[in-house]
Amino acid sequence: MATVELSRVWKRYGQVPVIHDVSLRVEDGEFMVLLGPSGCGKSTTLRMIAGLESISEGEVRIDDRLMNGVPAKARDIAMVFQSYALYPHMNVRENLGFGLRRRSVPREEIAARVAKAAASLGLEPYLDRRPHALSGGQRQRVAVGRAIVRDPKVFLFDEPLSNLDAALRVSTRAELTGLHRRLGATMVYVTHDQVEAMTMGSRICIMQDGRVAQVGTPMEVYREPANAFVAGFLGAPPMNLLSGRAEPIGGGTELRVGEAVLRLPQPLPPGSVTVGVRPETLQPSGEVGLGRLEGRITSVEQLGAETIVAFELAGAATVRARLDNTFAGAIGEAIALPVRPGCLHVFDPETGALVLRA
Amino acid sequence: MRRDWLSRGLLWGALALYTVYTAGPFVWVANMSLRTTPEIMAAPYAPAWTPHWWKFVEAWTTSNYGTYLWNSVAICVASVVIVTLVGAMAAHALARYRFRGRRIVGAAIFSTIIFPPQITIIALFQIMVEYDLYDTRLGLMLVYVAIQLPLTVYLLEAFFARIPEALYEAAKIDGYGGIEVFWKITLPVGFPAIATTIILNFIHLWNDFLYAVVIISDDNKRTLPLGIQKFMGDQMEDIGMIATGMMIAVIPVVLFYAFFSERLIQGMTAGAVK
Repeated sequence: MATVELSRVWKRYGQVPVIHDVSLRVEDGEFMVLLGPSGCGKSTTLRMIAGLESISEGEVRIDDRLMNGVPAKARDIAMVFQSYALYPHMNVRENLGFGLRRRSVPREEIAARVAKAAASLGLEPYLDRRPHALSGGQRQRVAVGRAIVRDPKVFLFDEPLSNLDAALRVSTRAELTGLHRRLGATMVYVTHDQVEAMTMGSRICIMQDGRVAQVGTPMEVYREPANAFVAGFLGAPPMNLLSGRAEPIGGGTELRVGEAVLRLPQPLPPGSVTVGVRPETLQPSGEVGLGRLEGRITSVEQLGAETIVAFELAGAATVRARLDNTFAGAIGEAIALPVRPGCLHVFDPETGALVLRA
Repeated sequence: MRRDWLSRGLLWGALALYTVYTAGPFVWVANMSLRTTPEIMAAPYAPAWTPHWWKFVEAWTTSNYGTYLWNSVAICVASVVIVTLVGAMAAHALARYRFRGRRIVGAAIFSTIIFPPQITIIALFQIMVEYDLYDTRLGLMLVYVAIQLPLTVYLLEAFFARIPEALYEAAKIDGYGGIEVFWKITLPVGFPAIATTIILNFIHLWNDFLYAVVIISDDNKRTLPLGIQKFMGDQMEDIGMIATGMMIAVIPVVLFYAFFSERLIQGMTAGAVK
């Protein structure tokens, strides 16, 4: 197994940069998830690690060996594609052994490794079938099996679950996490699905517009987002991001969000700010906390285990709160929810950077 | 219910009419191939009540049909093999690689498809004479390769361009590169398209008369279409024997098509790109 390191990597198509100065280190045996919306550069970054895209500037190292000029086939990596990219003219057995045949692995060893991979993925009954005779989930497992038999230094996954239905995605997610535990392999996994990222990753690298927005464990990036983009991208419903104004009062700050007033013990310079509060931190209680967000309920979504309530904050935008399923409020009724200390984020409205957590 | 029967009847009627229109001439020639010329002259459309199978033996033994057939097979098979290999490689390069001048090369190849073959005949004849290729099987084969190559590249390039890029990237990561990718991925995945071009090229070249009559004059180098023409001059337009000769020429093509179309359908269903 190996480490993967990107140092100040740029990718330009002509004069247009799509990856800006990305630096990232994936530790040996780590499951790193590259997460971000479409077009953020996560797949391009993965393809540069794989050797399928050239690097305009910077360095990519696998196991401390410089890979910039090394072709894909010599990087000792395996990749699972979004479309699976199974060879349609070969059966499952041939698909699994194709890479090993090129590397002149003895026939008996190929057979043994294919059989082992097929057994671990439950593919034994399908070894003589061609890809068109397999279901989506089976194809996906063949694609993973093709990577496993190679026993590579690094596994790369490019949105491998996005073609599966919701139920299959959940079970395959667990299978892939189990696979990572069993193999202890270094894996880099690209997805735009935050649930996949949160449940599978040892760490998550969130990308925005070709840049690394934040790297951290799932709970770190969720609880302590480095900027408003990360805060708004993670969570369903996402963090409430509200426009407000900061006014220094005494040793602290008064934050005005519409007609609501929140009092922080920390000082902030006067001016516009973006205030962030996670929906699940807004819970009805007798406490005042940092202040109360009040308004009239505009929608109530009963999800069974929980209830998502939206209310119009007087003089500001809509706020969402994730409450328990016993909540009995109705549309049009008044609601007032306190902001708990330690659950408020203040961002710079221009740069989006985190200014304060209170 | 009544409307269903009506529309079904109309459909069957249209299909029957089309079948008669396309298969009619073939059936007529097949019928004539079993009748003598005097019988045909007396009643052109009458069926062969007493089929004269001996005409096939006579056509084969009294004429040079064995040689014509061999020439046709050798020239057509060699031409089709070369056209398929070179055409598939060119199509693979045009579909897969982005290189300087790619569009110009593509346009130059494809532009030759629009010219009628007749306009090149005189120049072609001169070139053949100049390079001692006139009246040689090699010369005719080279011409066949040259005239069929553009359409082959055109058809295959369109199909190869639809093979997902991820397959090639997967092969790259599996350790395959350059020409290996062509043999291991493009050829097998593109087999349905390749089989189509093999059928089209083989039938087209097997039936070619124009280039063969211009380039070949020696009787021992004639292909089947030229052999049939011999009956028109040498045997006073023996229409019955011409029909017999045509059937001898057509039967291999029909067998070839029957065999390959089966393979083609198998290839399409088994190797389909999903």
